Amino acid sequence: MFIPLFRDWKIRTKLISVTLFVVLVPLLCVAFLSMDRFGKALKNASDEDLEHLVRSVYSMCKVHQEEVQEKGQIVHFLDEEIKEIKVGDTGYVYIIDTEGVLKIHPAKVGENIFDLRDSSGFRYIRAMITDALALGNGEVGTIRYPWMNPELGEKSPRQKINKYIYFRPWNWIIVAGTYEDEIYRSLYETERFIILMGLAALALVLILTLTLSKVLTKPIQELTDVTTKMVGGDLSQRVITRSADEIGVLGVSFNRMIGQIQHYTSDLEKMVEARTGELKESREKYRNISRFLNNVLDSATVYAIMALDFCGNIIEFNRGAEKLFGWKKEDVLNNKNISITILPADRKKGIQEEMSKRTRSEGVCELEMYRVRKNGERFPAHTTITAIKDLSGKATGFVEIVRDITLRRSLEKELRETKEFLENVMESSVDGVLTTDLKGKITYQNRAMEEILGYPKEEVLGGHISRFYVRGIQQAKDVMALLQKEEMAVNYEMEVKRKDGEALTILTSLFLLRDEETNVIGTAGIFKDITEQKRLEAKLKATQASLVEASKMRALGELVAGVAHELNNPLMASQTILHVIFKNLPDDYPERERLEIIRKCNDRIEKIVEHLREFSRQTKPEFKEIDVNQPVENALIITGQQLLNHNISLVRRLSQDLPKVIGDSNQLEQVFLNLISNARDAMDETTGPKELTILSYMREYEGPPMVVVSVQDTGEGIPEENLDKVLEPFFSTKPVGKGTGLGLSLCFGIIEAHGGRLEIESQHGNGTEIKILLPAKASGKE
Amino acid sequence: MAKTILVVDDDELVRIALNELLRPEGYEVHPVPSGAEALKKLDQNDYDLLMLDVIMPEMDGFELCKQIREKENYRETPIVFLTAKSRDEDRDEGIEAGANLFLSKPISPDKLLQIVSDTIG
Repeated sequence: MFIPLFRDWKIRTKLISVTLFVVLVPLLCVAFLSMDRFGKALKNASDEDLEHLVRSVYSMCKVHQEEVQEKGQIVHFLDEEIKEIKVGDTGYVYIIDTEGVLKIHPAKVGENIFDLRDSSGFRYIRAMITDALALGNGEVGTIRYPWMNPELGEKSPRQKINKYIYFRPWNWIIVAGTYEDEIYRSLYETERFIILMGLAALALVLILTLTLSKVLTKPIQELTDVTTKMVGGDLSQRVITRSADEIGVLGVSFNRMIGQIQHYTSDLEKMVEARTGELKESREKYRNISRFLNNVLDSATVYAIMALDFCGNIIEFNRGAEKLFGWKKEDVLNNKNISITILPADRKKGIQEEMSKRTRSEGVCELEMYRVRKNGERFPAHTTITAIKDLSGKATGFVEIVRDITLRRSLEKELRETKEFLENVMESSVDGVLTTDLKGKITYQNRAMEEILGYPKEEVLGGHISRFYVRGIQQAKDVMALLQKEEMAVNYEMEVKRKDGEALTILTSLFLLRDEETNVIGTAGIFKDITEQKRLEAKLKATQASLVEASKMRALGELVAGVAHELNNPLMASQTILHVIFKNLPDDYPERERLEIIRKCNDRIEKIVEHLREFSRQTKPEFKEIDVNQPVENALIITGQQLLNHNISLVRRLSQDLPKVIGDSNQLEQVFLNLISNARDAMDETTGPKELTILSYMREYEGPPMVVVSVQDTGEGIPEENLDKVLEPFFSTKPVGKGTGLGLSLCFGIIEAHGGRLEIESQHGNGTEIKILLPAKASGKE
Repeated sequence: MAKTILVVDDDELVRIALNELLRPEGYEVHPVPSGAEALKKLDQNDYDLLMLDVIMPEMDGFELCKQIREKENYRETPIVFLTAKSRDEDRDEGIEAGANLFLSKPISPDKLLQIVSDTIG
């Protein structure tokens, strides 16, 4: 273990350590040994000095004991002597008796110090006295104790040494004491000197060693430096070769090597530089791509993007995935399998394996399926799985992109439903619906349209719209122009033709179809076949007019009846009184003629009232099954002579095989009488041929069959402005007194009561034709 | 003794006129304006001819006619309606009610006199 460590040390360290080991250790051993020996010798010498001192005092005491008897003198003398003695700097000699009383002392004579304690609290005096008493004659004892003399300003105790001897004759203990360091000073000085010398020698050795190592290692160091700089890339450095020794040779060949390396390096550097540039560029590119991809991953919050290993374990999980599946990235990454997002039922069916297989074989697998969130909620999803391949083309994992298509599904559903709904609406619409493209090609036609026009769907789709139009392509162009101008046409009436050629009147609402960018992409139209409606409308209009007329007549009838009734009483009273007056007047009464005028007035009033009553007569017609020719003949019998008188020729063509009608013969006779007399009056002023034509025939088209009686004259006709007034009561163009204006009104009322109608055709100057239409009695009806 | 005629009409003009027409011919005419008064008069006098209007307030002529016919002494007395009504149904109703004649106004005075004299001589 040490060897390898040593091997790794620097050369300098190695030199130093060897030197220290070889030089320093023996040196130190010698120093310590000699110091020890020398110290001991010196110590003994010092101790012996002290002992010697004690002994000399002892002998002094002995001498005095033999010479002098009196102890007091001796004490005094000895006191002088002993006080003279100095041991070291501060050491002195003193005498105590065995009681501990100081007999002779430089300062404290007479004090009892028997119980004096040293710095550590040890009663050393007591111990010393005990020991002294135990010593043999002339033997010297030694005691060491720590002592501090605060009076001399000492802070810490110093080791003191006392030598003592017992002087039995006087029961004295002679003590010589001093600080050890004071008597050992020379010893310490010597020791210090030896240590200094040792250190000096050590320093010298170190310096020498360092110098040597430096001399040895400097070239190596330089070599190392250069090498280090080379390593750092600086190849311009060269080793300075100062010597021709092995290191010098090494330096030279080293320099040559550097030269070579520098040459190669510069080539290499150029290559590296170029390569580095490329790498940097591609790394930048890669970084950009990677940043871009990360952004894509994280900003695709609508898409769950996950990377899976070959077994389906999740190894990447973007924010979209967190959002979609409810799992946290840190929870699933390298921890969960993609199967947590698949319905258990699907898992059982092995859908995962199926998907994996498909992805591996086809490279991509795309399907719609239900997936499940962390909270167990299912949702429809669209998933795309692609394989991740390594360079060799082997699949190492998958990328799955999942999208929640709940909204799309519901939109699709809604769209489908809306489409179906609209189709249903379209197909069940009674109005035709048709769309064309911009060129007029038909793109859609609903069932109703099919029925209206008679073309089956498959026949019209793709065909041109103009085939329906009566005016063909020109009409199509007109419609388009209208739409371009107006955007739409509402309730536009037009003529179209059915497949079978029948012309129809169509009410249509047309509009332009536009795409999302509001470009016109075609036209659409809603068509309503109003041919029948039109016809009915015309009929209704006529019916309405006659109904209005009828109700007007009824109201008027009531009014007239009321007026006639109210006029009756005063008229009767007036006539009666007038009658009485005439009866009572003499024949030559001058006012008789004037009264006569009043009577004429009364007569006129009576006649009008009579007519009014007739007009308003509320007697019900007596309906019977009759031949309509009968009342016509009756009327002609009555008026025949009159017509002849007025030079009117009569043309009579009465159909003999008419069905019966239900009617009141008398009332109808009245009607024809009225019509004939009107015709007669109309031809009064005519200068041309006067001809009255009476026809009867069947009309079977347009609704239920009707029996028609037509009365035509060759009179002056009815001015157009009067045409709609002639049926109104009290409308008359005849001279005053000649017509009451009630004739046609009366006719109208009667015909209406028969469920028939009255048609007037007249052209001013060309005569008038009035047709009476009565419903023919249907066979089987009572 | 002069024949007595009761004329019932709510129109005063008619009452005056009939009175003027018939009185000079020697008839005694009692004109009253309502059915109620007519019934009263009938009890006070013996009438030879009754001329009734139809349309009157409170009691119409048909009703009056029926009530008259219920009276013992007027079962056979001639009753003539003189009314503005002229429909056949009205005529039928009048005859039904017990009248002998149904005349529509206006009627010429001569004709009326003729009818009266024919009826009660």
